[in-house]
Amino acid sequence: MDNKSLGDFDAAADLDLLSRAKASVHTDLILDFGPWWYAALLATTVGGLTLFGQAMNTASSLVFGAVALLAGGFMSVHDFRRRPVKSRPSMRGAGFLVAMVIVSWIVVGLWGTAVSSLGYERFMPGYALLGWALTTAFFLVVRSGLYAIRRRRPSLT
Amino acid sequence: MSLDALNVHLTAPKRLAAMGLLASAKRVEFSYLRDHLELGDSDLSKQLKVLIDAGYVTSKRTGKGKTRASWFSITSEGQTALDSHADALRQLLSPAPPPVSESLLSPDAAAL
Repeated sequence: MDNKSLGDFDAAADLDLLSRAKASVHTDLILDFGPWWYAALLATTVGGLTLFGQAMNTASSLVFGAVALLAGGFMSVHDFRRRPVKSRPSMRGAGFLVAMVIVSWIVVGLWGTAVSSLGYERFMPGYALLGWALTTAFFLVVRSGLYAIRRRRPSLT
Repeated sequence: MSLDALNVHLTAPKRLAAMGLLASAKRVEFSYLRDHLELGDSDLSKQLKVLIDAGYVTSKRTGKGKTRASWFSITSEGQTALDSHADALRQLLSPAPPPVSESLLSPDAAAL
């Protein structure tokens, strides 16, 4: 190092590389089709399925939503075991988890509200199916967009 | 300006990027490092060996047959080295302090 001059060393590029490498792991964990996505998608699916049940109400939808989140938790454990990177607990990760749980509950709550407002005597399975499909499609489109962003990221080296 | 404060093991971009990935995770599998750094198996092995020999990274093998995997973790010594290296890089980028102007000196000091 003694003979190395500043002329052939780019400190800014090295700092940028280090920063991108550190962020890369967190970004991957969020963009990957991992546990948090499963939980939200399952909550949406089960919430939608309650529309086709009999005598379902908001409370029942929330119970089914909780079951969906629990199932998402089990899937996340399975996912965690097969992942090639074990993450450290971080505030960013915790924030994302909280956000996805809130989104999942809002989605389930919206389905429950929809069930209550429709009323079972006026229940229209066709519209329910359409709503379910649109909600699920929304999640899948968001995931596809994030996947495309992930693929376009520049190489680290 | 001297570059002595930089860590000679971390001036190679491949090793620096590998340390960056390892610093953000508890454990990282060989294939993940290989894919993200876009290196060949032998090249990555060489870079990791340098880091392991320096005491910055530890390795652990798990599983058998198809489930066999090599995991790598950054050590506390490696984390300290990486932080020091990053500080040294930032110092290289920070502008040198301006020379003290004579007008800012006290009249007595200026008279001298």
